[in-house]
Amino acid sequence: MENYIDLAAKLIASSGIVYLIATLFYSFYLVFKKNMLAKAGLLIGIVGFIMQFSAFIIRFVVSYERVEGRILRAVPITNLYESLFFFAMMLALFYIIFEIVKKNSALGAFAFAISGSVVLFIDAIGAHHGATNLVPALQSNWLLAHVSLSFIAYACFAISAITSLLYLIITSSDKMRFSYFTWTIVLGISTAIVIFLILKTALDLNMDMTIANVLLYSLMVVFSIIYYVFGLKIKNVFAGTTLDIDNFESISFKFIGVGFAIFTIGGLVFGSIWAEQSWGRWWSWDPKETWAFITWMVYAVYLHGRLYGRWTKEMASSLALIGFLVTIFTFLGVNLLLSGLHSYGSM
Amino acid sequence: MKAVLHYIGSAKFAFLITVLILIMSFIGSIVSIDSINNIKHSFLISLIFDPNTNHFLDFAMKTGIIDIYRTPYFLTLLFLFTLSMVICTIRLIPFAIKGFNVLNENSLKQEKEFGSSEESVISFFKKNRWSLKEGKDGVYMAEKHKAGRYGVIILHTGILLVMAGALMGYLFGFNGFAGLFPGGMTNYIEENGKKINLGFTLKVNSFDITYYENSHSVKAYTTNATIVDGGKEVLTTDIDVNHPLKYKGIVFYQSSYGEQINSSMKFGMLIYANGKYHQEYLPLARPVQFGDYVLIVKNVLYDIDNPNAEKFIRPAILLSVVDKGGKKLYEEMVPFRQDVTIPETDMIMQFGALQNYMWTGLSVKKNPGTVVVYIGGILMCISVLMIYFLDYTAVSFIVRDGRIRYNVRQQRKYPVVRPVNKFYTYLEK
Repeated sequence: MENYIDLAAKLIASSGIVYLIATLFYSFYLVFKKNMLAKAGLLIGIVGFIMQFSAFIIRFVVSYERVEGRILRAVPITNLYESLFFFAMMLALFYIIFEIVKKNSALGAFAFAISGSVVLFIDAIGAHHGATNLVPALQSNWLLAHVSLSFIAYACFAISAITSLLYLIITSSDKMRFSYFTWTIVLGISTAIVIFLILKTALDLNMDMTIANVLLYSLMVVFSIIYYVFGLKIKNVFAGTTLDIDNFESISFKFIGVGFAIFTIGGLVFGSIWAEQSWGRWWSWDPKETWAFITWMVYAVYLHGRLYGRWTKEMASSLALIGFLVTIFTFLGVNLLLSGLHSYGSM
Repeated sequence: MKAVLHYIGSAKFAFLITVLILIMSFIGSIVSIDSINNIKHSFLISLIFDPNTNHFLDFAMKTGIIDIYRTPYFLTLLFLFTLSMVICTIRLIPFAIKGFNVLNENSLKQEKEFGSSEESVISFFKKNRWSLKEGKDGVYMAEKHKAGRYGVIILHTGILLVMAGALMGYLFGFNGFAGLFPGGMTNYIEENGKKINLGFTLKVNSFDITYYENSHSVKAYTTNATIVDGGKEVLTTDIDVNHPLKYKGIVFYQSSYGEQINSSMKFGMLIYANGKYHQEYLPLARPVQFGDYVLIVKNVLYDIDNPNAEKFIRPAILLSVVDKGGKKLYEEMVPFRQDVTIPETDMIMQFGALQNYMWTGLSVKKNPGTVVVYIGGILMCISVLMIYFLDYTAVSFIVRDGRIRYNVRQQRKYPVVRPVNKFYTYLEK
């Protein structure tokens, strides 16, 4: 059994590298505008997805035996490692579908960059690899519906964040705008968290909580300042590329719309029904629930502002980006920092 | 009054309330008794509250930030939010009833050369199941997905029902707790120290923890319980984490468990006597006849090495053996799984098993609002799908002198399915 889990772990880690190779092809496509490069990128991305999907199936079969043949409970999305890789897989899948349907290759570099980094990130921080036994609360047929739909919604939000970020970077011209502050700070915070977690694992630091916090916050400040100062130069990176920026903003809107619908159904409604069945309360203001509520409200505000045309595109994109930051906290921050009923996903 | 209601229903007010609710939720999610105790030593806090006392925690309790979701401020915000949503939902109703009404020739801005007749356009719409309306100037309006107009209203109604259900649960429900040992029974439960009568009796028959094979991880916590109503046993069933017991609107959930020395405990003794092994279960502090002897367990310890332990680690019993004549043959602490020889007899005994030492914690709940919440949830699910899949569209047109003049109105900017696309392909032909 452990051999299969090892094989799956190797497949997952290699799929991360494959995604990054796809990213490379897509980046060349953006620079040299040769369609062949985008096609090659897509093909490599699909190979990465197939590798990851095979790993998913292997883990599925392994847990199927563990849960004594109850297929709905065997889905490998029960801890941080499995859920992150499910997220990366969904992101890759959505992007592949998006490119094939819309025949638009502009986002490939970014979507596969995120999928690849997430996969390599879970490998680097050494999140738990083995198949785990299901704790009693997770032994329910709602597991599949609630968890997978929540992550599909997160993947939609991730795509909207990519397009919003690109929109904001490329249209930025004035350092004193709210939107410029938003994207530099959001990017700064995200970079800091990733680097902090990698540093902490790579150097095997057993830091005092206070020192760890100081380090994390200073990294956040440093990176935000770096992005703020050099933000307009980052814009130049895209100078030679042909990105249809106006289209990006509407892609954000569509993905948030779909993600919001899925999140409402799978995250909130199904989650409440399951909570009612297993904890006896459909809502208990557990940190995860509270943050899901915050995420839902932020995107609801976005949709209302956007639908009634109250906002400029910069404002809408800024909120989409903030929404994704909140989503990341709902997913990772709550698991790693706050304890509560949803404490399944620690490292 | 009208102006106040207008303001409460405005987007600005809704936004303000939303931001306040988000800030309070954020505070609520990070504040806990632990986090309060952690930061009370920080410099800023220690300026105001003495870190060696619980003053900061008391302050947090008094102001309600430790349980922010039940404070009057938060409930007021939720109420205002709900009110704002009610007003804005009511404002959406007129459009939902009327829909688009473009039957005026002047509003048909788009124009195109067109080879077919008016009848063929009408039959195209009829074939695709659009509903048709005729205006006075010969202008037709074809509508598709009229139900889509109600999407947002149904979504908001769903959210309002969830709120209403929450209020019903808050007013008419209870959320209590019952801790019972196997063999124990109760006809009331406690909610914050207050007794609530169940109207029937719950009897716990057994409580078991099962583990995964070769592992310390728990597979299931199971309480087997019987409901006794009107002196009759009406129902016996297992309560698992995901399988609560429901009876007369009251639901029993498996929520916790623990170990405690109690009067229904049994001590499994393996006794070697007369060349044979015997298994005997002794109760606490009650004599049991065994052959010519009387055995009594007079006391129990959680851990023979640590008198302060509160869980069974290496338990021990004070075992007393008395013969027929009342003579005390043996009285000593017997540690778990250790053989002892009883003097003046051929008996060897071992204290080998513990029974009924665990209590099961059941959370007991009555929430008449749950049904309303479920209906609200179902409406939310249906309506978000309606919003994305049923894009209410109206196409007004008139065909005259080989040209078609038309106007397209859509309720949604970016729907998943765009019914008007079929009309455009039809026009191209």
